[in-house]
Amino acid sequence: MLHIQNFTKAYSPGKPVVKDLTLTIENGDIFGFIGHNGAGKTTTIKAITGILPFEQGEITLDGISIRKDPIAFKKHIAYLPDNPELYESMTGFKYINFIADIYRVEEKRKQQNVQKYADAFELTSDLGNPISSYSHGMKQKLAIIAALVHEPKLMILDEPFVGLDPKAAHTLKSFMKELCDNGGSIFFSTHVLEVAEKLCTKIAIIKNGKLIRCGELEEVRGDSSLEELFLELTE
Amino acid sequence: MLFRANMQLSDFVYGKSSKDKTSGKKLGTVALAVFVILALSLVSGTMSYGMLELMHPYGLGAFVPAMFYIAGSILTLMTAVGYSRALLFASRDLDTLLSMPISHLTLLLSKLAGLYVYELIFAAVLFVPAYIMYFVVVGFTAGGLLTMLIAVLFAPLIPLSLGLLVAFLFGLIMRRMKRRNLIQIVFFLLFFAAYMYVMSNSEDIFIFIENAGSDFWNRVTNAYFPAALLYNAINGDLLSLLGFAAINAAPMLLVTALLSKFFLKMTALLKQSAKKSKFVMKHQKNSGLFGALLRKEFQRFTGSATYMLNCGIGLVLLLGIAIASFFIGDDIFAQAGFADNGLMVFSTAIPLFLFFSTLTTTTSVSVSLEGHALWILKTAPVPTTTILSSKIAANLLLYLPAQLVATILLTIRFGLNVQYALFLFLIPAAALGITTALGLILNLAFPKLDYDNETRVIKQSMSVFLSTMINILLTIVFSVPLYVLLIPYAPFFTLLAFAYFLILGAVAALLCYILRSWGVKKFNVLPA
Repeated sequence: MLHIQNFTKAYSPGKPVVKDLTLTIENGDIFGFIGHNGAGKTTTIKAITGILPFEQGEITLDGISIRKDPIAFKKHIAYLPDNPELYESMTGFKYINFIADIYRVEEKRKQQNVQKYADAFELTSDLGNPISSYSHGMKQKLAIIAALVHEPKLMILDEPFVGLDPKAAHTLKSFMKELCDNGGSIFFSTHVLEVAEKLCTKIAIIKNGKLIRCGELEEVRGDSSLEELFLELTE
Repeated sequence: MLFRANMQLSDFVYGKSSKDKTSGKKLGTVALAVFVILALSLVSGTMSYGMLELMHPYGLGAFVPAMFYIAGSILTLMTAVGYSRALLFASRDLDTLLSMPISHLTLLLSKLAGLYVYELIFAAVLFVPAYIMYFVVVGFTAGGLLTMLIAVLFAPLIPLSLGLLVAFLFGLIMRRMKRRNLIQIVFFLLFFAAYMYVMSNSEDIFIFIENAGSDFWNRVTNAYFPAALLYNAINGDLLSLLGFAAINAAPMLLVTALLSKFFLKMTALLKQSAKKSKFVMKHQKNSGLFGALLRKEFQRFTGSATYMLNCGIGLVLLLGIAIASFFIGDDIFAQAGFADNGLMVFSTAIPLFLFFSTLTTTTSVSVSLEGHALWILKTAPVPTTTILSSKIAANLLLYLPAQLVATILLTIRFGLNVQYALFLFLIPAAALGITTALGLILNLAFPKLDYDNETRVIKQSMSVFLSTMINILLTIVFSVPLYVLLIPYAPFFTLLAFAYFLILGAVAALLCYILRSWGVKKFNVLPA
């Protein structure tokens, strides 16, 4: 379970970009995080993943604090940025092995997972080529495979479907559901509200750094569509 | 506007961070740039003065600027090939610019203008001091000043136009090769070996030049016609000056016209990559955390010819000198009269070991080269100290074996005793520790994560520049105690050398402590 308590981040004094954000992601949740450009989504995601240090608030995963024990925290998460830059000098296979070594994935498990996810995303035949020769979509797929190979408890995705072909997007959705069915959780930001509506169990809407709605999708949405609600709330 | 965007001369002129710089930093940047230009100009001026003193009494003074023009053309051709690939054909913003409503000619001219400015700086640093020395020795005239200005402005054009064509042809040949980095390195090493051969025989060459007379010079300058025109222009022939300008400008205009007509086809051809092999999943044994990070550092190093050549050149020079000494060292030291003197061999070898081992470090760019992929390390369950340790280890593992091999070669060749051999290895090793840690500190202080081409980071970033300059100074500083203490107090050599080694080791340890405290904090706040 990821718990964010009173998270506040300001890049310059007196001008917080995220104010007093509190939310909880339970095991099994597919949590959609939506908001306008500059609302504070990426700042929040970067704080959760340990990229961005922060002074106010607390973020814990199963009781482990990102600030107090970042290594233990990060062992259980996987992050996928919106435009993943990878190590161009490596081949796809070497990159996955690098990630697997970093997360200390056992050899046999690694082999099985690489085969499973690479075949599912139809990237197996390209794993021997340097990442510099990959298209954007291929890099996205590779980053997803590397994120999944170490079986994280929490996957944090920033616009994960951008650049994916429909088949790969469908494959990703199925793996997201599989991860949640196995007790994990997903936290992802997206501008594609139709995807959020179909996939998410919970939704949070952020506006100008403040959480304005948070909860079960049906409760948050009510009788309107997510798009209508979003437009109404962010006017 | 496009020219300004292209002219991101890293931290020295423009650059994303220039607006954020304090006036102190800007002043420091300018001061450093001025220092480098003055230092290189001093070398050029000194060489040209020496040649003028030799040749002016024979009425051949005008050949000196002409020879510097030829030498400058060769050097700017080499840099033009590298810059053409990095800043034009392989520029990351090329696709974006090609998709915009900008004519190919406008786009090309903006890029070529940027390339021209880079080459002009090289040409000016080499050429202007030679010309100034010519004025000093032969005499100043207004016509001579005009000739100099035109020569400097037009000199880069032929090498630049040739460089563009060579860069394109090179890229065409290499595009389908899998081991292109290796081939680039082999080419460079061959060229470098030729350069070292010429430099090592420079005394013989100068004697030949002195004895050659005007016939030789006529043949050399006529072999390269623009140089002959320049020679005549320096001697007051205005028509030759105009001819010089025209003959330099013509290839550039032709190449520009060709590029603007065929640019899309050329860039498309260059983007074709090596034939992709069918991948067969093999069993990959697990590495430990540190091993994985270290392997990543080496993969990045060997994956880039620019990185290998710029940050590994010291290694090549160190081994080259050691191997050369193994074969011809006896002759050199016998002439100097201390072939059997272990202390003198040690004292001669140590500054060279220090210089070559510490000249360039991978750590001065290894943080910057994480670039936009820094998120991988920042989100990984890896302590920052382990990340920084792997970067340090990578540089040490590159250079320490070379130091060891060089030490063994010299020990065998000159029969050094145990104490000289031991400290011939240990003292440079400790110095290597200092410069390796210092390189990382500098890179953390001056990171350049937002770049469109790694060439800018490896060749032009502030951390690389400062690291190289400081390391050259440190070589002098580290060598001083040898001549002040170790040679005069030779009976106490072992004690003094050991104490010196401990002091250097302590400094290296202090720098590592700074990295563990300040360095970790700095890394943790880097934007990703």
